[in-house]
Amino acid sequence: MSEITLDTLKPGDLARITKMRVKGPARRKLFDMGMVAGSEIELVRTAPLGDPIEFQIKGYHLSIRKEEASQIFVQKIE
Amino acid sequence: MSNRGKMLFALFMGCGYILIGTIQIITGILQVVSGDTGSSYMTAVAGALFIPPDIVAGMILMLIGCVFIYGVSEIHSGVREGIAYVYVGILLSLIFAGIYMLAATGDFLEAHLLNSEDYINWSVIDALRPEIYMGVLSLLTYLKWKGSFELKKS
Amino acid sequence: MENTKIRVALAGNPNVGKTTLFNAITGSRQHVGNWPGVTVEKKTGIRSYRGYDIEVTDLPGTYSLTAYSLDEIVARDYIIEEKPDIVIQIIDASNLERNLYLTTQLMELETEMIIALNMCDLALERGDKLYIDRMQEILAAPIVQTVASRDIGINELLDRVIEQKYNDKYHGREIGYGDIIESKVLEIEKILLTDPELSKRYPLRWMSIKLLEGDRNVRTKVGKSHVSAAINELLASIDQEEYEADIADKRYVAINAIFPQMCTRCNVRMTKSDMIDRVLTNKYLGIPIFLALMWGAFELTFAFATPFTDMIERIFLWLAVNVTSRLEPEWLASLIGDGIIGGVGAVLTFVPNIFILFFLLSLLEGSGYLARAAFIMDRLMYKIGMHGKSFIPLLMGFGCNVPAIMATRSIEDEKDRLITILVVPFVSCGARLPIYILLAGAFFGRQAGTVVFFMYVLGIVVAVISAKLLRSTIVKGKPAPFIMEMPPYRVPTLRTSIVHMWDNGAMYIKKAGTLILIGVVIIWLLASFPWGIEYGSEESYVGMMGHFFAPLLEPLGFDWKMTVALVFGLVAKEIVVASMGVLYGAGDSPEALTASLLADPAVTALSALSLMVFSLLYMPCVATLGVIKKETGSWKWTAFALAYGIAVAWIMAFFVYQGGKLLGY
Ligand SMILES: Nc1nc2c(ncn2[C@@H]2O[C@H](COP(=O)(O)OP(=O)(O)OP(=O)(O)O)[C@@H](O)[C@H]2O)c(=O)[nH]1
Ligand SMILES: [Mg+2]
Repeated sequence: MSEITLDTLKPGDLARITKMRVKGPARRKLFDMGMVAGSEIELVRTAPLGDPIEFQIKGYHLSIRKEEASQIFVQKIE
Repeated sequence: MSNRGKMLFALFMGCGYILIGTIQIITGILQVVSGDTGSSYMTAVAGALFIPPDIVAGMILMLIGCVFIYGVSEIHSGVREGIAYVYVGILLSLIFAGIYMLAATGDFLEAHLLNSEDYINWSVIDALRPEIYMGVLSLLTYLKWKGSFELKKS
Repeated sequence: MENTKIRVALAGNPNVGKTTLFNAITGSRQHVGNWPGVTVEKKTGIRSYRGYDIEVTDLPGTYSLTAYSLDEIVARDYIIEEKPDIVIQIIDASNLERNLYLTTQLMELETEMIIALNMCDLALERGDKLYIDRMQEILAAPIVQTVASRDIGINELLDRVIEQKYNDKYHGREIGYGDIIESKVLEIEKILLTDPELSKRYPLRWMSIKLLEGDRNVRTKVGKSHVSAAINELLASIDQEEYEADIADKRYVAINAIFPQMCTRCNVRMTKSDMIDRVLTNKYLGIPIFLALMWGAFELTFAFATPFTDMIERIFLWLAVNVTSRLEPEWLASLIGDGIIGGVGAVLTFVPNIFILFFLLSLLEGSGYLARAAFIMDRLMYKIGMHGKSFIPLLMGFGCNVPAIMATRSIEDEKDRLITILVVPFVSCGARLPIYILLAGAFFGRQAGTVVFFMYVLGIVVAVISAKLLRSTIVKGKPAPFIMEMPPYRVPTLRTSIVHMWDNGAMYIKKAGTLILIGVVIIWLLASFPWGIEYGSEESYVGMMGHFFAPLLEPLGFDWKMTVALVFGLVAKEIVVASMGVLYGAGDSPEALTASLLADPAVTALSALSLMVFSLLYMPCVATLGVIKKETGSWKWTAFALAYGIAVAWIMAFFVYQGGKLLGY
């Protein structure tokens, strides 16, 4: 199974986080918000202007920009 | 309730809102350009449907219409979540009906409680606008379908 | 006999209902809203219950005990430094998993803890099953189910607080982090123990874990101790990023292990909230719907207020006819008629608009749409160098700029926050509304609504352009990442909205009766003296003052009376209208003000427009300047906000007036 980044998912796609490569203060914040390896995550929708993206994780909705999403690696769950 | 019923309703509401919105925008433009609405064919239709000339309000009506039509197209192409557009279309329709009802209440108070000069000729008919009667339609439909706007996640 | 005092802190994730619970316990009326980051300061209240004085502190929400933004720092510091007797963690029962993350950290603090499982109504309605007894066992803390918005479970919670006070043996649970981390924790604990003072102040294990996580705050705490060298050496030898990830990971692993025993979810549906979101954040419809809703709110602010405004005007007219005109001596009649009724009356006429405005803003906040507005607008905001979250203070600014600037505390990045603080004052607040209504109503007739709407748009546009300007000159850099929870939509509670409307409306009235009244009396005095001149004429002191400043403002189309109004408006924007009332009103009622404005040849539709533009932009009021100083902590930025505002206002009004003249108006 190949690894892809979070921003390449489509609405409704379910995936499991494998690696979090975001750096800086956002890194810890994302951990706190549940973006840890092993979490299931679903892309819910993208904003009207294409960015940010809204995800469902740990039973709530979280939105982050594409830039951060592209540094989070996931494995798609079929 | 089948989605087919919802689709037909949305189609009806969508076309209605867009049609009324168009008339409202055109008469609004006519009024700005020529100062008065004259007595064209368009203003006669507008009068019969209680549509005051108002460009912005017309655009909002068209927007609500678009929400319904978007729902129709989604349901039609088999996306079950399309009923979300019908639901929100109804909500928007109710919100704007509410706004103009309150505005009408204000006018009513002016006319009957304060007896303001500007409102001497005001009657309840003046308060009737497409937002309100379309809103009533939405309300009735919503009450009928209340419980059915929920989807099980597939 | 003195009541025994118990100090309780309300902690928890943002938007779980802490403030709602605080209000329910203490009977306060703190600001509640359905978006993360409403509360930015700690607030304390006291409730006497069964012979105890329970001192409750409401804290800003925080996702973790490592703080990023100012509001989170407030919360963290209170819990750690002030050591309340009991910490109540409020958990959103419909969002248990992530909420437990904070619980795992609070446990490490070794304080007495009670868990209030709030929003049970939502969880149950959704079909979740909550196993409270099991939860109590696992977390080793008393658990109370509450529905704060409907006052359910409050007394039981207070009972638990009192019980817990005497149940002084701490028996919380902690989670294990695995061999590697635990061995490091032990090492650090050993080092820390050599500083008895430090190890008495803070829990050892908690400090060790935080140090491994790279928590800057704890590091500074330790930095002052003699053990800091040893700690630094140890920390330098490990890959901190690895540990950081691992610790967060282990916490969630622990949660994953216990969570299924506490709650099972039966059926997950596409909820109403999802349905609404699907449409409101739709690619094509999202932004138009946002604009339509704003316009609707705007329309309502005016349409519904008219009869009430009329009523107030009539009261003043009645006063003028029946009371003022019979007053002796003449100067008193003038003070009351020209001064107080003309001035304060002009401000009070707009109370209905202010009430409606705040009511609608509260509906907006309560619905959860604000978080979506931030989500929808982030892309645009990013392009102009702002943060999506900045959009929330901007919208709140429509009510009053002061709380809007406070609200910027939840923006993590200092620069993002500074820019937002500096541009919020351009957003047209409620106090500026009277100026538009008065002038647009008098000079633009049927188009008044459109003109006023464009004043609002202009405010936003200037704010946005200024942000871009600041970003590319003084405050260089890129906006920080956008990481925001999207709360579910909720039906706003009527009670909350009415309280919000009432409190803010009352503040407006109070201001009219104090600050504005004083201003009005001063203007009246200046307009009546020196002795013997005609009231409000050019020979009076205000006349002189006006003529002194007039050359500066003449290119903008203002005569000396408008100039005076603007000068006094520096204090509070309501005074612009009030002093126009004093100077033009000629003594009867607010209604007469419109007439005398129209009659004055010095005031044309164009100069009225220019005046509106100038008043919108020219300077944050004194209260706003005060809060800018407080929040930026710098006189330099405060002075900048002041000077920049005046410059922008002058330039914009100049273009409007001279441009209009060129076009032949
Ligand atoms: N259904 C339901 N809604 C609730 C309950 N408690 C609070 N709310 C709503 O939840 C939202 C958030 O409430 P607040 O009290 O502002 O939350 P907070 O935790 O103080 O939020 P921050 O100050 O942002 O950290 C509001 O819209 C409340 O009306 C509850 O028990 N049930
Ligand atoms: Mg709060």
